[in-house]
Amino acid sequence: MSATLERGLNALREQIDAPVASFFSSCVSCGLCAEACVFYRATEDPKYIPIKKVELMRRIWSREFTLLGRIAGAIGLVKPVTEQDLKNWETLVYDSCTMCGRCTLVCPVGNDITMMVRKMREGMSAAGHAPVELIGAAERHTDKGSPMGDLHQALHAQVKHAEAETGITIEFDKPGVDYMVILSAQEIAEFPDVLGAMAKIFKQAGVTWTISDEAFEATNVGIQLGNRDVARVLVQRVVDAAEKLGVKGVISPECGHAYQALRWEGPNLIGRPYKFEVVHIIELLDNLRAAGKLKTKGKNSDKLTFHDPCQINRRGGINQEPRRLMNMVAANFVETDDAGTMNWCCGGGGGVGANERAESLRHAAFKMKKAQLDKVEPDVIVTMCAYCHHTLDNVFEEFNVEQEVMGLTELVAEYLDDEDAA
Amino acid sequence: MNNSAFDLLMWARGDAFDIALIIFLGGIVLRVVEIIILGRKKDMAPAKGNPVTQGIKTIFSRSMPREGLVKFAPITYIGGYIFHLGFFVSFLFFAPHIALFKDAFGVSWPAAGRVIIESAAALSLLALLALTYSRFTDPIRKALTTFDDYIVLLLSALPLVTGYVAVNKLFGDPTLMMALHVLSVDALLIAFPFTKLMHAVTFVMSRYYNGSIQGRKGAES
Repeated sequence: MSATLERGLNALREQIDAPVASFFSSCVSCGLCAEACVFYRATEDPKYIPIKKVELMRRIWSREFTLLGRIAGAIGLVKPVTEQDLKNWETLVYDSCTMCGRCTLVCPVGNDITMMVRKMREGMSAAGHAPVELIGAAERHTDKGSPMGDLHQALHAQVKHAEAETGITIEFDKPGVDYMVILSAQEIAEFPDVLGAMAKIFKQAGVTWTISDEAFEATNVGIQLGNRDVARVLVQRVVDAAEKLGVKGVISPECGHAYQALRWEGPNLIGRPYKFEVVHIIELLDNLRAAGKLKTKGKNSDKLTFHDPCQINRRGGINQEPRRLMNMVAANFVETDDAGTMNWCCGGGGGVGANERAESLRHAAFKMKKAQLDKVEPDVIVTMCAYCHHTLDNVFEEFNVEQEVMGLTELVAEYLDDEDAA
Repeated sequence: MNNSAFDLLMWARGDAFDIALIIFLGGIVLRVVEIIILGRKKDMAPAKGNPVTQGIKTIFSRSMPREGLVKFAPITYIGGYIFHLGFFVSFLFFAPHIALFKDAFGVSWPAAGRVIIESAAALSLLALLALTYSRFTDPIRKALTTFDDYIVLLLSALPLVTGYVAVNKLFGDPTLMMALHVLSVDALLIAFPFTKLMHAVTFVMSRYYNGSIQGRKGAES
């Protein structure tokens, strides 16, 4: 057995806990997870049945964690996991799953298949079977601070631009403020308007904030790659910066897996609770709205719909907050079928969007999202994840469709009652 | 009366049943312990919702399908409901079964009429046939089906078939048919902990975990 295979199998063994064992014990192979899966539904290829994607983990559990499986393994009825198996499963685990979580919500026996795919990736990456793009992004992120490389200059330029546009000063590394804002690389590179939007909203609401020059990157490729060590290092950077500045909280930006990484996985990765709270930007805006600190004037009259990012709604628990904000600023807000918890994935999450090999599959998977949108024919799609935004923009361009997409924070900022602020 | 059939019946409901019951209960304990000893790390992220209450709620709520999905797998959903309901109605509400419970545990409850019991058993069997058919023909079910699934389908069908034949004296020696009925139950009990039949116990755990993981985040389950 090669060293990498052994390392991968050990990483998989480490991931097997009581929930995983209960899930495999309960599965009756009903296949209902398939009908929930964006990749199965778009292709109707049985190899994309979600529970199949974690088959190798099931085999390890069966062979090594059950008495009957050990006996069956000893007489050759359950085969050990081989290097070739891991190779064969790589595309299933990384290309045909965005960890969107729909399967987890339909399984009649309650199997959290999504969580098991996340766990599978720990073993796959440890064995060296992960997409090169994610491995490269992890290296850039660890060495240079962001999956896109060093974004310090870009961030400073965008901050200057936002300051010029809004007339509001944005301070770096200011201790003792309410919040430290972190951003996704996608926002810095592609959607920087969110900076000015936040500056305006926070000024009106009387919220003080800063950006750390040491830790401004919110994304966490370690989560997508399935490498706890990388994920821990990246979370630790944010935690160290926030605790050094002594902020009350860290604002997780419009980015799906960043929220998942910092809010839900982070404390478990670093092995302790934080000394600050983590709040998603949309949660915070909704809190400000409820407290009467977010005042808007007028409403957008276009037909607007909302795209729920999987990691923020289905896997993150933020469902009604964006809807309350939408209703505040949209006169013609139309929900799609399956909106909210059972919304369809954009197809780019979980590292799939960065994975070139998965491009055609990702475009095929967009069929489900497109069908949802086609029924509504919105003028603008509003969302709360920069990567969903990026994926939607790209895929519409690919299909030669003119479709505006925008972030919810920006939309809210557009209707801010500035007079009230002054 | 055929003496050898009578002896077989006595053995099936005597020694064989006792052994089957021990394997059934011992096996379940083993399987549940195998799961629980693996443990679960304490979650250090501050909870947004209540993981315990949502876990418990999900044990029940996951019995209902998500809106709009039944039409994609009607045999699996509808067949699944009919099989489970039919099986438990004919098992728990048939007067002679209740008499057995009364003998063993001293508790009893009202029985359902013969029409209900027999309809439940017949429908349950038809549902099993449909579920088996879908395992041969439906691409998803076909891709997932293993030997274990067929064993489980067969073991679930046998008590229904033999019970129906024995009670209605459809064919064969009624005593022999009754012996076969009890033997099929013995087989079901013995196989239970070591096959996918085990889901009938562990679904409580897996649904709880699902609900608690989601509930902690304030997310739906």
